[in-house]
Amino acid sequence: MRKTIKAAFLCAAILLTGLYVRGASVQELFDQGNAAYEQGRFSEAQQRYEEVNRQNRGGTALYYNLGNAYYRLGRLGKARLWYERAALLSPGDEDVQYNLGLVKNQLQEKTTLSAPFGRILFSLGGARWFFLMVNCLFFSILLVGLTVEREWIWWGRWVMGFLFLMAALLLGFVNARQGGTEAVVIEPRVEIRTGPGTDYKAGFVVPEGQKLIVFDEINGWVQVGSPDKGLKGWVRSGLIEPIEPPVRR
Amino acid sequence: MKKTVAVIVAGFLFSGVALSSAQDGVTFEAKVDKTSLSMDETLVLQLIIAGANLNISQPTLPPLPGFRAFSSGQSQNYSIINGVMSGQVVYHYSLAPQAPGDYTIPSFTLKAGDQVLTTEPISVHVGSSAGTVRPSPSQSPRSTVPRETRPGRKELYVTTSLNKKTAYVGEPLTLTFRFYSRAQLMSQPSYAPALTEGFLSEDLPPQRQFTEIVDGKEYTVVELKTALFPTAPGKYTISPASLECRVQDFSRSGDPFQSFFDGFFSGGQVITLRSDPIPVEVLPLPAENRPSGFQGDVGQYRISAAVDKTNVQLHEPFTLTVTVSGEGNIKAVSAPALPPLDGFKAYETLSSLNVSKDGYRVQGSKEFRTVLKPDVSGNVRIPAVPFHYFDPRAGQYRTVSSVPIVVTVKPTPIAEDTVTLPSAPALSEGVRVVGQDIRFIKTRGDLRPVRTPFTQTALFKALNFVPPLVFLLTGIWGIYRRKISADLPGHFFRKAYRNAERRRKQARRFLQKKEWAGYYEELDGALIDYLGCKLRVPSQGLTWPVVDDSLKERRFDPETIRDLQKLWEELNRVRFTPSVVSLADAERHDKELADLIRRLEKNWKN
Repeated sequence: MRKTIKAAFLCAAILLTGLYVRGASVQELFDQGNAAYEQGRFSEAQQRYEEVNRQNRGGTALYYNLGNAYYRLGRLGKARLWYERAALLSPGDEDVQYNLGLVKNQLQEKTTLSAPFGRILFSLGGARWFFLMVNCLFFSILLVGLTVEREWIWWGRWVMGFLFLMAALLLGFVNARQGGTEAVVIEPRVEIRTGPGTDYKAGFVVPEGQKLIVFDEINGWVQVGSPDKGLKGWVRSGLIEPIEPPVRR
Repeated sequence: MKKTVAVIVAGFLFSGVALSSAQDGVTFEAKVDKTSLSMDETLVLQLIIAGANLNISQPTLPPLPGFRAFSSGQSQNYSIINGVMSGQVVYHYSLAPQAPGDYTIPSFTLKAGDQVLTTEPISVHVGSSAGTVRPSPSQSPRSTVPRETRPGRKELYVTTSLNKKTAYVGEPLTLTFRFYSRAQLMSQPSYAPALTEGFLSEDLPPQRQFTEIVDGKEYTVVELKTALFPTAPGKYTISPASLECRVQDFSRSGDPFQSFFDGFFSGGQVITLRSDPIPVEVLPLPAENRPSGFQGDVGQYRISAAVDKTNVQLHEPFTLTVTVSGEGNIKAVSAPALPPLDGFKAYETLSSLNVSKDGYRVQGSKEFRTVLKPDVSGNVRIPAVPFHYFDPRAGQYRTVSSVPIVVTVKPTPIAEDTVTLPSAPALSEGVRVVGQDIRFIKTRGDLRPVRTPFTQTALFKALNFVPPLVFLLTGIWGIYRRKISADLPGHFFRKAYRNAERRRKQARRFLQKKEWAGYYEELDGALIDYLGCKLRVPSQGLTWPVVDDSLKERRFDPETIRDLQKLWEELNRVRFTPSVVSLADAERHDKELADLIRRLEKNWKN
């Protein structure tokens, strides 16, 4: 019995030490990346941050710093990708939005929403939360109305009903606007072909950093489009990267 | 030339006479040798000035629509009658038609002193090509004979060719003119290049001379090349190029001596050779995928950027040179738009050109030099300069960019011996943005495991359905409740059996614990409540006579009524004296109650 307890303690100690070492190394790598960035060694900083990300660690700070490192290395596509990922996590982060706006300016893209509330509301996650909130309020007030007869409940039902309709429309609009997952072109000047293969003619060319919508994938070729410009075509999957970071299991 | 000198000398000798006779009597006339001709022929136009005073400058030809004019020299004739000199000067022109049709040679105007003399307009019809060689008119001082220009049949002919018949706006084309000759030329030929309306042209030297065998005959070929750049879309025709040359005319006489003297004294035979017109279709540049910064440059280009210094002091100017090189109309290449140069003040851009025509292709480089003055210190980045152009070979737009440049700007050192005198505080100019850059990294941050955002999980989606579902269920429950309230006795009637079973179940729990009081209270309650609900009367205060009457009234089985009465009384009895009850009796009472309720239920259903 005592031997079993000893063995259990030993196992627990090894496990906890392992967890501690893992956690420390991730933080250390992040700090090393920061130090390299501060000293102008942007390539090394980028490698350190990427290593942290490979260990399935994320967060606004890591994504934002990766965006900065790529920006300093002159890779606008990757810089935008990581800023977009950071903005997905923290749509209200002012630094992220500033740097993302700067990259968009360099790509000659218009930034439409500047107020943090608008950015959050018009993001897919924001619209979903907003819908859920209004959904709860609307049905709650209906529920109260089943038992309580008051004038304010009568008015509240109308107001919440209108808000519910607006939230549903907003969610529909944001969903339709995206129509698929978003991706960023990470290589300079990518040719978008009319079909999934090199035998097909190049239909249009997109610069590095351009945001595209992904619709479909066949044999390593991805169907992408730019709904604003009415363009659609196929590109090799390695030339673009989805904004939503892949979840490693 | 000799004739011109003769005119001048004659004019000088007889100037006194001419002056004395004033300007009166001067006539001015235009004549053509024919009013109808074919494309293969040349029209001879004579402008005749006759009178006493011929000290008049040569008339200037106005534009002649449908014709290309060549001067064929002039002749003069003087006579002195009674001390008064008169004469005439004739200016000869060869007019080569450009296209078939009806044309009008307009009036010519000549100013002679105070007089303005004009000629009558002449209508001329130009027919299509006759394809024949015609003899020269005898009255002409020089015979001008149009020749057919088909290769392989004549001793002299010219051709023009274009490397492409369809091109985009701005795409370089090469026009090649060739002069094939087997005859002895008496003078330098006069070349009139093809009219290239709608194109910018650029000569492509050097002129090439070589021999070529055509239909078994050896020709000396002189080749001239011209680069053409279409300026606007549409259908164009490159008009014929023509060449006027003078050759010996051996056809006038069979006598070789006569021909020899003719060769010296007649001036030979003037031949105008003309190439065929070439149709060209110029396509507009595609609107699709046109980059926003595209400035109309067409060709194949590269771009590079360089600075003369990479280490400078703050506010020390240096030069950024952006070079666009490649093949195309390099002269017309527009300055690439510089990206926002944060941290620098940019001055005017100057350009210089280096054009090469090696290999008969217009190529070279154009440099755009911009003086920059850094406003901030540190490592300041000059971003990549993009250049958009249309590549006609690939038929698509391309963008090339220079490599970004980092310039190290050192802060201006403050001289140690500088003494700063206190002065009145300067007026603040407010916040001024002198440079734009990304914000610094975040040194602190939560490095959490990457998970699917909650808004994309199934749980979140399910959460959206909870409020309406709760509302729906509550609504259904409300309806049910209202329905029960409307018929409460009916509800209890329907629930009576279930309630009785539930109380029996509760009673069995007391039985297990041998709590007789509780047990019989539940059994008794089950029976009374059941009967109360079924008879739609309150169970409190329910007496056997009421039950008995009601059951009889409803024509229940008398045996069941008897058994019910027996159980009713027994339960009443043992309820208040539970200590005398054995376990077997208790179990029997439960069974009897269950059996009785089942029988009653059956009767009620029937």
